[in-house]
Amino acid sequence: MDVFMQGFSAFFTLSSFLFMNIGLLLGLIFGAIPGLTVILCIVLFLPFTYTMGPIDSFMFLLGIYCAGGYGGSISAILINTPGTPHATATMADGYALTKQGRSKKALNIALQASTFGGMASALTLLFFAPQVAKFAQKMGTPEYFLVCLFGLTVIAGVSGKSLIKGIISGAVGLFISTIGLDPMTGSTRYIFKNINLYSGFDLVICLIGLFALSEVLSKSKKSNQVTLSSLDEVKQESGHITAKEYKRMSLPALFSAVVGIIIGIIPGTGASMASFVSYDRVKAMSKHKQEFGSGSIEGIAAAETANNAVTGATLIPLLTMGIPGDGVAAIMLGALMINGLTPGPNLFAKHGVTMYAIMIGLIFVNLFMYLQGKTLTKYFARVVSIPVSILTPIIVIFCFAGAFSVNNSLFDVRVTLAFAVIAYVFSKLGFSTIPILLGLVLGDITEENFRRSLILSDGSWSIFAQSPISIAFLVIIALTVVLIVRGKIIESKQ
Amino acid sequence: MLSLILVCSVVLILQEAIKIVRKQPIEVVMLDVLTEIRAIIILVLLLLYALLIPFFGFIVTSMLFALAMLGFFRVKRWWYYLIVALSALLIGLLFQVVLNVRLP
Repeated sequence: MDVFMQGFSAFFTLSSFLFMNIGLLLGLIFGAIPGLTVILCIVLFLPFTYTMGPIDSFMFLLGIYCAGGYGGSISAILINTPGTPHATATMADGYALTKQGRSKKALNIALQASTFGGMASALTLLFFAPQVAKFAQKMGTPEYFLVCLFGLTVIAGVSGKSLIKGIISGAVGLFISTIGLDPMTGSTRYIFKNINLYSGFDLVICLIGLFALSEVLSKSKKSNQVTLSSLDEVKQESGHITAKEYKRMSLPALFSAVVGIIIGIIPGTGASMASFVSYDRVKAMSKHKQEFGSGSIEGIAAAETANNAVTGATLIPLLTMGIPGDGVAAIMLGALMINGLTPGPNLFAKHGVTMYAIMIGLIFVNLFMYLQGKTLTKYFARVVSIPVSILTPIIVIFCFAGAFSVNNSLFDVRVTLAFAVIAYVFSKLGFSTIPILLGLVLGDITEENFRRSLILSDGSWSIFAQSPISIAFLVIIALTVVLIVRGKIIESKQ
Repeated sequence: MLSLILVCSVVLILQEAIKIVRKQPIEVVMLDVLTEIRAIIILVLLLLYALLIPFFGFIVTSMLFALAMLGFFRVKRWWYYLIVALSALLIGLLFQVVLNVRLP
């Protein structure tokens, strides 16, 4: 309780509220504009967090993360284009309501569901993370390696259509992470006598190339000029949600929150998966199945609750074990390291106050997201229509300046370009880029713990099956592999 | 790691080969030549941008790049050009003054 109060007072400063709200605003804008994703927003603004403290930078990033979850639904509902990939499940029902002239109601439901999901997730984080952290402290290097291995296993399963393509992408990511100095012996690997490759590739540099610049390449043609006819109708109706409707939505929302939280905890999964799974389940359970796809309020509530319920839950493995659950969490891991907080099982023991401040902050982030959404959504409807031709050059300039600022090196700028081309070619050939990212992020920690365990055991592999925790993890990994492979076989037979 | 990539690639090729032999429907990636050419032009613009920074400095190159991009999109409204040129200047100053990054 003592740490809790200290954390609260560390969080409760003017600057954390300020940065939180700036982050929320940016997240709403980037989420709402189709083609701009949350991860793009975070990558672009990451250089700004270098000068902030750990709490401020986390409030800023979490603001973007949470608001992006809701922002995507604005364009999904108003113009039938998901602002972010995970708003796709909201689209069918949301846009159907807009066509019926009830877009304000749809937006209200989406906002309230998002806030509910986010709050539930933040509270889960606050109550569970310290328990998980206590458990994590008991883990040694071998167990830690197995957790990473579990993360890598899940990646292969959830990435794209083809399992083999997923494995290749993941392996490419792992390979890139080995470039540079060997963490154990200090010898150089794959640097081809190029001094710039000495310390390997910085994560941010890779991310800018893979997720921001590659978008620019593929955006060469698409335009997002939309008719704004639906926007004028927003003002006319009241958007009031009746008590009866609340009652209808409460059970689906509660269910989706649980689904979202569970999916969020598993590394390698993400908001898109959560919203689709809970939308599907709620549809199967509902008494009004025929309404789904043509303006079901339960559908919107389910999808939106789930994709925001992921936000806090992804932080559980991140803050307690240093394992990022998705791309955004991977960037936050970087933000932790920049501030000198080494991610890992000891994070809670050493920096308990900061951790509590971040977790308490997340609750406030959701509160302010509701307030901003309530007051600003009608203006964001206009943001949706900013033309691509103006946005693209601005994004590129941001990318270049950001890439340069990491190490003050022009070499890094050229590296981002190379990564952009790789990501573009990969996406053309049906490879997902997310496994590359997770391979990159998990690569270093996996390798270090694997080799350290082998040194401890003098090269004997039995060290990975000695403690009950390790055996439990091995069983889980084996089960996941079986489930994934079985799922893929059934899928391919259909 | 490299060998794993190799093995998976071979499996992938074999899979497709079996499909072709069995005359099952195979996935074909359709590339629209026009889209690809546009992507390559953007890439060339990006490369020029990266290579010219040491000669003209970051802000000037950024403004040139932004204008070239708009020209590429065939934008006719002149105020668009003004907006992107100004934002290029603004971003440059933001990084230099607020974030203390010594841009070239």
